[in-house]
Amino acid sequence: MKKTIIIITIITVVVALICLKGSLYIVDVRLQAVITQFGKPVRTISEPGLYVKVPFIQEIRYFDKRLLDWNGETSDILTRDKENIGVGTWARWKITDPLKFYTSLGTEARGQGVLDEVIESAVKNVVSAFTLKEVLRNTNRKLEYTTKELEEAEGKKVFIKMGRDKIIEEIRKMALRALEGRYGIELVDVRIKYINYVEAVIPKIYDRMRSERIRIANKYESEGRKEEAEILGSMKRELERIESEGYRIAEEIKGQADAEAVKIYAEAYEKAPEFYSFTKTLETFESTFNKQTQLILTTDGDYFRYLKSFQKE
Amino acid sequence: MPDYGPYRRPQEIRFQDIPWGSIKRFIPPLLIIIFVIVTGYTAFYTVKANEEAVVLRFGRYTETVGPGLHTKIPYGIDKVLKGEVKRIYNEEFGFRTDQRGFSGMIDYRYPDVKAEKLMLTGDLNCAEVHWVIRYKIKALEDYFFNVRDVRETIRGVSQAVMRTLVGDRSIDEVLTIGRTEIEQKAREDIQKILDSYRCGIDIQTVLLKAVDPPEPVKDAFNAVNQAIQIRDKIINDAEGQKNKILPAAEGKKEQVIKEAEGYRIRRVNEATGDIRAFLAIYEEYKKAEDVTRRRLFLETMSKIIPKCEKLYIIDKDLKGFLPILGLNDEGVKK
Repeated sequence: MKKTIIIITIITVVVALICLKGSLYIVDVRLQAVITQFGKPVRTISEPGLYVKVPFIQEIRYFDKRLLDWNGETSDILTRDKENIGVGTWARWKITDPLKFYTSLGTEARGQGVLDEVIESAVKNVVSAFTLKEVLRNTNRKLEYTTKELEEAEGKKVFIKMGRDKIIEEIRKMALRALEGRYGIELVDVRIKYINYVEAVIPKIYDRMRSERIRIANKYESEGRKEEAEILGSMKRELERIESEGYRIAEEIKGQADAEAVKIYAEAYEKAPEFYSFTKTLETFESTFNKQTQLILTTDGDYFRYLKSFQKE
Repeated sequence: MPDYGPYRRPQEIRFQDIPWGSIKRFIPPLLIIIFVIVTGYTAFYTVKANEEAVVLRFGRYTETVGPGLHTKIPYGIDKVLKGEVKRIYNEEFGFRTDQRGFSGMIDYRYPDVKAEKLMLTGDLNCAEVHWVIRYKIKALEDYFFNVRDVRETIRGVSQAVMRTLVGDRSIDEVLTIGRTEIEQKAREDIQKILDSYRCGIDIQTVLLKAVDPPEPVKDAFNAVNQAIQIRDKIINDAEGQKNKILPAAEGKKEQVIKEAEGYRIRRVNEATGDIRAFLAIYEEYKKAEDVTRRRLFLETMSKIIPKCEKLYIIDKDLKGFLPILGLNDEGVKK
């Protein structure tokens, strides 16, 4: 009799514990939950805490409340200017209405699937409506280069009407329209994580980059030659100038010197022109006569006067 | 657990032989001891020096605690989430550091990163960009409660931001002149986006590592740099030549001018000397004009007549002498 009571008590306690375990549940701050009864949702819980439900009959479905990830595959898109590019998008999303999410999609994996469709088609539609530069560039900022030559070669002026951020906003809006609030999903952010030419085009891009650079390299060298010629030319000019200037100044000085000398001589000789011409003539005789000189003199001259006569005149 | 008697062998035990009465007395205290041990074991936790911990009670956030020994309510009522808030985390893009080795080997050819590093610049060139971001957890609650995969989120944002920045810059800016600006801007932009997610992350630095043109075009890029050097060399050589020759010419000019000045001084001095001499002689000459005149004349004659080999003296009265003289070169030479 006593034994039976003990056994009944034990069974009751165990059953009570199982029921308690089945009816008490915790919703973590990171989670939200939908309570279903025979598969039919009866309530949602989005505040963390300890909750009670009917055991066995009601079930809990937990959904993450945090920002969730979505990583798109790179898809090949033809831009408006017929460039074949690969674009990889990346998004963050959230389950904002767990009930709606549960009834329409049920699992997070299906949510990812919906986003795959919606975002990828939005990316394709939006990106193909713009030129590559519009998608690539974000603003109209001026591209800077190390040298003027490179700037001339590369910096073709383009006007960016939208830019990447605005295009991404377009993509997000389009995806939001497609979601229509049907799934209890909030698309928090969309970003372009990858953008480049498709694999097959890249070798061509490399060829272009190569030839462009080689062209610039050649340009630099010929520019060097040009500048060299300019420098040497201007050097020659300077040289001529300096030399002729030297000549001019020197000759001027010399001329002045001669003039001064002339003036000095003239001033002095003017005082005694006759004496000057007399002495100078004698001097020139001395310097101009040599042994080849044949001197023919008549006895009329002063020198031979005494040869003919010693009479005093 | 059945209590085997000291002298019995196990196979001989029968259920009714177990002394239940004595065992029953030990069960409650044993259970209590087990309960206390389990409780004690799960009621304490330590938070390491570089950590903080977030405490959830019934799933609800209650507090954030610092390093040390702490207590909690066990049996799933209190839940503790620890995070290393003082640690600086590292994320690498475009390469992976091999951590197995003693010193981290940088592997720029890590297979998965090819697409990650190859970026299109604003002028439609390609560049390989390698970068690192360092971050810290600044708010542990945000870190745990708001974003599920924080690391993946940081990686994605970082790539998107870097690509946007590179896409808005020239190849030159990406390779050389714009590096610091890109680092700064990237840090700001990544931080801004992560804050908008309320990630609880503080981006410490964004560091651009090697930024190179892709392998197939590297030589062409180097050729440009070489060409710049060649150009500079040509120009420098020409300038050098100019700088050597022109000063020499200037020197030469100065020399010529100085020489001319010397000539002038000399000329003036000579002239002055000449006329002084002349005037001095003249002064004396004036005193005895006739005699001096004669003397000078005769002195000169005495100097010049011996110089001449042939001297003809013709009497003025002599006629018809000239024809026989033979005043020609032959005659002179004889």
